Amino acid sequence: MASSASLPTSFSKEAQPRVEPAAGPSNVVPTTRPPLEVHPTAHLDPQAYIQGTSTITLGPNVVIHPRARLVSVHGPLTIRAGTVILERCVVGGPVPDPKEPLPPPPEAPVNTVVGQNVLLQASAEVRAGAFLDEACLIEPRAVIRRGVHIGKHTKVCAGCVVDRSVRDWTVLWGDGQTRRLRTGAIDPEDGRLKALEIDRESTAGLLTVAAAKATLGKRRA
Amino acid sequence: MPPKSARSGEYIETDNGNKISRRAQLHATQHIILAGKSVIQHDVIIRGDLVRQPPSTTQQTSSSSKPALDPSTGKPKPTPTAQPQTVSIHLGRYVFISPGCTLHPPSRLTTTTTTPTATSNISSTTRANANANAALTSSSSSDLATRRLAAQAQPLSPLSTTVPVLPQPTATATTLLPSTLPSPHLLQTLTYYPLRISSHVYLGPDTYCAAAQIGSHVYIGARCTVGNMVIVKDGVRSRTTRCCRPTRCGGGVVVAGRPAGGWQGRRGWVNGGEREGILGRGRRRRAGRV
Repeated sequence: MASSASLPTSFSKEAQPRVEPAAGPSNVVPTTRPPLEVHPTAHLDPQAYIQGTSTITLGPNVVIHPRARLVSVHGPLTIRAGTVILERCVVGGPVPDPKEPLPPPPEAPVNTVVGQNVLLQASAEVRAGAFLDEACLIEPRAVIRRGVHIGKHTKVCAGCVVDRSVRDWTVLWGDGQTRRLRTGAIDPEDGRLKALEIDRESTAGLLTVAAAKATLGKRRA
Repeated sequence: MPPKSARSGEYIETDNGNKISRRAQLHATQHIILAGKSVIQHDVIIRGDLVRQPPSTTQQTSSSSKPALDPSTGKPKPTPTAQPQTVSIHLGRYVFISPGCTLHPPSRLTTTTTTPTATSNISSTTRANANANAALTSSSSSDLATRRLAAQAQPLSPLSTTVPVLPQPTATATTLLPSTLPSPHLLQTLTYYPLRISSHVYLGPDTYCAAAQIGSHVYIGARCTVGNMVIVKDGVRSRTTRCCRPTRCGGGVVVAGRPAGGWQGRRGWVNGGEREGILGRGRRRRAGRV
């Protein structure tokens, strides 16, 4: 099984450090639940789906909504501080076929990193090997393909399919090929990040209360 | 060709005639209202847990134990009855939700101004936060993160969703009032509003909807995205794979494009995002914006 990847200290566009699989017997049967490293302030909803064999790391103040899917089949998954992942998102995909048994840990695992203060809206898909830099906004039904680097403060509009890296402060819309630089958007961006922080705190409270009520209802039943 | 009949036991039929698939995922059903004769197919996610907290509960929790007295009779006033449960998602009659849809209540960041000295003007929902503000103002640190940690140490209401935000002591900060007057505090609150879908609405497969209101007789195609706080009027027809992000969609408009634009004409239609030529007479409504 691949060892847990340490958080990279820089946001450079250099190749991500490879995670060498730990030496061990080759006949180890992989479990369906991957090892989790969840920060105490992170909220991982009980109704979120977790699947894979590599480590999934959740940083502080991360909010994972119900029905989100975290997949670490293809390599370790790191989600940094302040990220919000809404329902039906798939991070680290593609999702393996549920009818087939889970594949063994890959020999060359790929890192999937979601940076700080990233907002993944509903039904967004981040394939394994993608790197989302700080304060990205991924709108619903957008697809970030494997090996793509999304720059800081980039906005990927709804339905876009991104198959090549994007520089910082870029907006992609249409089918994903139309892009332009965000101009003069620093102050509104600060407001958006503050709004994201408030959204994160309030929604985490709502989800916690809802999860507690659901658990209480199950116990009574 | 007649439609396929569903497997027996796949759908739950309610008293009002609603048919809900057992494989649909409805969160917090107590906040979801179905008017009747609606169909919710499999793999549909309805987020009823994202709900606006009613202010009556906080008023009851913060009120004193002694009941108020009627000044005319001297007898205690009758306690007000409990307000109805907050509705997160309201579906009308004959709503058809196809597989893979996601209904997400819209949200908006609201800013309220509170004055700590004017206690009569402070609502009960902000009284707990006013205490936190008083603690924050006494703090000597100007770092927002440090002040937020200090706010978290205060025993706030467990259902409070407000976070006190103090104006930044920088040159670019906007001053609200002159320094001689007591400065009001801005409370930014994230509020979820109900998602209201009227009657005779069809949502195509894999559609994401975070609208504030969808009118009657609306057809939304497959793989569409209806943005946050969008108002879709009656009779709107949306093509497949379109992103509707304008604030309002007027009635009787065909919406298309990514981002979506509207077309209201007798013949032909125009994709909003593709900038095709206008066919025939009629108004071309440019609504999409990045």
